[in-house]
Amino acid sequence: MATLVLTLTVGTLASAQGYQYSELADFSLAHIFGGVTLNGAVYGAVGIAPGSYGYVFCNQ
Amino acid sequence: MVPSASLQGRTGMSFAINDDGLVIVHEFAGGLTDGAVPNAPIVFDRAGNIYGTTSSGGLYEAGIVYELFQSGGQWQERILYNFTGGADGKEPSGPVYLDNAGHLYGVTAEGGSYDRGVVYRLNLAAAPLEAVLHSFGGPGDGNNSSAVIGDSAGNLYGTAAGGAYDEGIVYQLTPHNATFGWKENVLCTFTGGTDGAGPRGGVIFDASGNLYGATYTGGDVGVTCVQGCGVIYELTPQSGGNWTGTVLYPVVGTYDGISPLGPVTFDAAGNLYVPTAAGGSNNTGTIDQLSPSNGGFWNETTLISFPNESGLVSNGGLVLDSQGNIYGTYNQDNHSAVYEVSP
Repeated sequence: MATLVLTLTVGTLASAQGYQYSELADFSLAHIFGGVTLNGAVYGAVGIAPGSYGYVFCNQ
Repeated sequence: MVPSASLQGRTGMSFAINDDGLVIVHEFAGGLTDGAVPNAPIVFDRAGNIYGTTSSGGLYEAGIVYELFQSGGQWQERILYNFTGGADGKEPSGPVYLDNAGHLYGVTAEGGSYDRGVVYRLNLAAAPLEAVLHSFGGPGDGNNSSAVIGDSAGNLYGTAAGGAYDEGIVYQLTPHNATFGWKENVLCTFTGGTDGAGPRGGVIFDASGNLYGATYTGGDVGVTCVQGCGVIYELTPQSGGNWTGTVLYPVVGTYDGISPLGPVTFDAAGNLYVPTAAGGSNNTGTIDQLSPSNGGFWNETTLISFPNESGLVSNGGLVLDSQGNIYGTYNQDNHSAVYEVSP
């Protein structure tokens, strides 16, 4: 096993102004595992959804 | 049935769309002929084909690796591999990794020699299709790896639960030889102290070959977090195959988030972005930015706090576009969402 030496490098902490939060898609009663992927559109996978075994979607 | 309508896409392909106006690229059928429960982000190859996994379904109901490709104006599915649930692995998890030589790599949560999961490789061009590169669960080893990535030399890197202190590890797999296959090198064993505990979501490289990741707990112990609020860490390669670990930022949990979720994400300027599972204005988590400063210090800025909605839990894995917009997902008790955070 390699040697692990930990060094703390603590910086500063601040709160940003001006970032806007919005929701691109909302899935009722569904569960998404993990994040999304960009390839000309936003792609993702819904793992659990009513009446479905899951699906891959995009917002193209 | 999820799709509720169809439309003609810009590329001439026909798509199904659901009630939210999203295009359904592929809906899984489950059972023995298709996968069920896609449980990780998808990955594109250079030709625009999609690769991913489902944690269940398939011929042995132990999950599949799938490819989605465009043909005849439609997305078509090709099942690349059906896991048997035995030594070859069970319940694939995490995004797959594609190298430049036609190989696909991934991890499973279960199966393998010790039933603690495996790292596998699929040769997309020739048989035999699947090779188990490593079975987790030996002495000091991890289990239930969450993701794997590779470097230009053909080595693989990932994080896993378990390890000597049962607080998680960062591992490297190197191609060894024909007799012994691949060799595991544990780069870091988390102790659960100030070094962190519970690495989540794998690691990423910077341009210099250093690895970065996040732990869910550990770090500075205080009033806010009895077990520590988590850390952002860096592993730097040294001569002789050793690696040095550095805690870039021990999450404080007062104004910033609590329990960072990996993998962390770089922008083009070298800033790191990470979602957290809790903390922030509403204690539903934040998106934090870490910016390198003089003397090896990193400054943290909380970009947003997630909405004040009970039960909201962010997923790890942010992506950024060229305009600096940030995309991610979260789950709640009765719904899930894809969000965008814009500067």
